[in-house]
Amino acid sequence: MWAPALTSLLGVWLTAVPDVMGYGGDARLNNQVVGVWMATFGVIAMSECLRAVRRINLGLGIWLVAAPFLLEYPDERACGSMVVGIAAISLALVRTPSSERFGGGWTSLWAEAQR
Amino acid sequence: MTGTGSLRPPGWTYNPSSWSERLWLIGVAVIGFFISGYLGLYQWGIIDTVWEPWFGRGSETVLHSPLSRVLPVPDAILGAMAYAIDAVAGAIGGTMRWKTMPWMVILFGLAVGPLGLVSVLLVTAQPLLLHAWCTLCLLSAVISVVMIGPAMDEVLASLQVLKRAKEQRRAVWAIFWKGEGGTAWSA
Repeated sequence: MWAPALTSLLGVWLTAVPDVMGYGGDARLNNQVVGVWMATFGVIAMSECLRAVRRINLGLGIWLVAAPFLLEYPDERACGSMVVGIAAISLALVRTPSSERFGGGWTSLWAEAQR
Repeated sequence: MTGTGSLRPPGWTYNPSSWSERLWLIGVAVIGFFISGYLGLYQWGIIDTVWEPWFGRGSETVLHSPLSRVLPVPDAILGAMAYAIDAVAGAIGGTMRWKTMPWMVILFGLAVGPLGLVSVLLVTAQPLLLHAWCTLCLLSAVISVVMIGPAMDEVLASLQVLKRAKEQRRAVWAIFWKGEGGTAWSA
């Protein structure tokens, strides 16, 4: 619960940081769009039955580490992007034991019939 | 008085259709309906000004953008209708509706899930295409996103009912519309 919640806050920060720091360009657009989706998937992954959604944020985190090289950010924006990316990756890898059971979960829907 | 145990889907530790799971979702959808409806009335010109505490003329830019008028009806009006469907589809059916009314649960899930993600898509369009933010649009998107996870567990339980019916070669379509009759079967 806390890891996806923190990831959401990272997303909100990422969305706000271009306005807070006052910069534009590719870094601004990338951070705002990735930030909105990171916050969204973080909130969704807070629900135990959709905890797997954190894997999407793992992907977004990897993108944030790669983006400065691909989009050629200036140094300080590259640094920020990679720090948030590594934090998001780490949080997406946190495994919390589930307290509820969901009859096999979503994977039960495409699993072969038992017996 | 029977405990909630008998109402749980097989292999579940709780009942996703219980009122404690659903009531607050309905309440949140009603709040979303009023926010979105207010923005829609502004888009229709029935209200002259829109509340915007942070982003200057941001709300005006977003709410009068060409994107918001792609469809014949302003997007916030469509949003309000989606919230109304959320609230109604969230309220109909008893605490066993995950198996007695699968179609209603799945309609609820479609209204909350995919439509919720559409509102996020609209939010990303704000900086991307319009370079503006709209406070109440953001709040509305937050409300839609908060609803997604808590609504989806019920959808999962209903899909599991249909999956089991298919495995047992029973009439999946009939169960989708009419649900499973008979007494509660326990885990």
